[in-house]
Amino acid sequence: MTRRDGLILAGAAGAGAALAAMPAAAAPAGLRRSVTPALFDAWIRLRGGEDGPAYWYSEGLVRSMVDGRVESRMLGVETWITPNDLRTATRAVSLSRKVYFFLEYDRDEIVRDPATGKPRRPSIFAYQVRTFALKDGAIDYTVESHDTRGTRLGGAGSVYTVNAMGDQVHVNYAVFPAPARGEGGSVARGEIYDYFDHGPRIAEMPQRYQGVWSSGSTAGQIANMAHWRYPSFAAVPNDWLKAHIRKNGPMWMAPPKDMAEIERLRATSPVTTDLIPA
Amino acid sequence: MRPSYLGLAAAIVLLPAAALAGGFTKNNFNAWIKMRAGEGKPVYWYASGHVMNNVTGEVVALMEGVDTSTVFKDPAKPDTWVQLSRKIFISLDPATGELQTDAAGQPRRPIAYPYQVKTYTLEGEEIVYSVESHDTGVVFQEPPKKNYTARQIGSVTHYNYAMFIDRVRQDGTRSQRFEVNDFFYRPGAGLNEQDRYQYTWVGTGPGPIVSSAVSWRYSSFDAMPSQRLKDYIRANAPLWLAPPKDMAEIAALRAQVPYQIGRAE
Repeated sequence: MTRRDGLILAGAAGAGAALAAMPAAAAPAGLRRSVTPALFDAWIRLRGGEDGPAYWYSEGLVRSMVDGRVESRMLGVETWITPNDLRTATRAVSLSRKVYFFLEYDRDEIVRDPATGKPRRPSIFAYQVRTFALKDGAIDYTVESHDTRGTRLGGAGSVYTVNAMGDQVHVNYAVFPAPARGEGGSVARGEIYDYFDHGPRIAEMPQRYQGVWSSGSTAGQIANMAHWRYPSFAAVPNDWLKAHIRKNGPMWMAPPKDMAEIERLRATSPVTTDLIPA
Repeated sequence: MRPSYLGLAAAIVLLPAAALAGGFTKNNFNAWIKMRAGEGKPVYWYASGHVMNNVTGEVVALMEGVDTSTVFKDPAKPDTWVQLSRKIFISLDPATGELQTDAAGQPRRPIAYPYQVKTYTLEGEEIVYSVESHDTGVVFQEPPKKNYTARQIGSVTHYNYAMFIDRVRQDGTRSQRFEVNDFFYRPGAGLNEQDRYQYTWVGTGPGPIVSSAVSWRYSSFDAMPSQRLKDYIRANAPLWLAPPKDMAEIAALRAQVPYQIGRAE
């Protein structure tokens, strides 16, 4: 994988959407608009963060799109809150931050760029502010993100599908980051998200809530991670990840507290952290 | 924080990196076979999803379909199971929800596989996977792969595999595409098939296209939720009402290239 490819993948990690000007395309006029207020509420509750921070641990693989060869592991955590004062029956604002690392396949060591010998930059966001609004049976979505280098605004979209299956809820959506990095290359590729809430009969949080993310790149890689939700940083089931974040980027142990913290970060560029190699 | 979550966290053992190479045991291998293809009776994975332009995100089609399977243990090889399946997916117009038509106004041809023969062998912590497919136009084999992983999260097992297809089509064009498959298996009393088994799929191509679908499993064709799909198959592609019965049926289909969808079956 080249450095540029790594950057593309770094951008692709989950809120690679954040790097882009358009997180999701507008739904075609005739596309099924079947999200009810109850399903909207189920989606917000699935993502969590209303009673306390939610922690979504992710792990997966980066593979060559041509031959399937595994190029690295990818793992990290997204921390998330949805403050009550920013929540109504049809609108919710979620505050989050996240970081994903590219590790060697067979050991807990960050992949090094073959050209520079330096550890690869993680996909990292100091904050994201997402607004979800239920409008005419569809979820409109906007995102503002700070990738430690600066803040970017996303657009609006509503390609959300929310399915109820018994007491399960399944949510699917796609984002298509536009080439906004000014690096001369297209980063056109879709990111596909699927989330499941398996219902209140399941008490244990990571067994109740899961997700899957896949993203391809025109540079020839596909990254794919599974997510599980946990109620605390300590509960995240990866000792290497927790130790690395505690030592080098403790801000990523918790989500932004409130909009005041977002305001402070908005005014800070770059946000420095030892999680990013010098 | 609830005490039960703390207890759970303590109980979860971090999977070593090597586990990503496979993570299979006899138990979760057998559970995989049972989930994917049943225990001898046909199973039906109903799928619905979107087909999108991979640059703009425009939804160019809705899709729905079914993958139906049966399975038997290979008597000649230890720890080896053979899945016989077939699948069909139809394209729907995102504006109307009706069958999508081509430039000539005719219903678009479905994506259909009269058969797939998938072989799973447990080898250490890996699945060795091979597949032979008939896509109505050609029969082709993928070389054996070790491309499966299994992860245990409490009682939930997550299975993942990716397929990277690089082949020359009949018309001489080279097709390079990928598919990523994620399955969740949840054991427990009182759960129906849809509670127990879920499946998500993402695939690229042909061209600048990305598609995604979610599937739930059903125990009969009639139990599937889409009347439109069932009506379509009954009227146009009755072969897909059931999986291949046996290897004799596979051999007969192998000789039918191209396979004409919709003929008397």
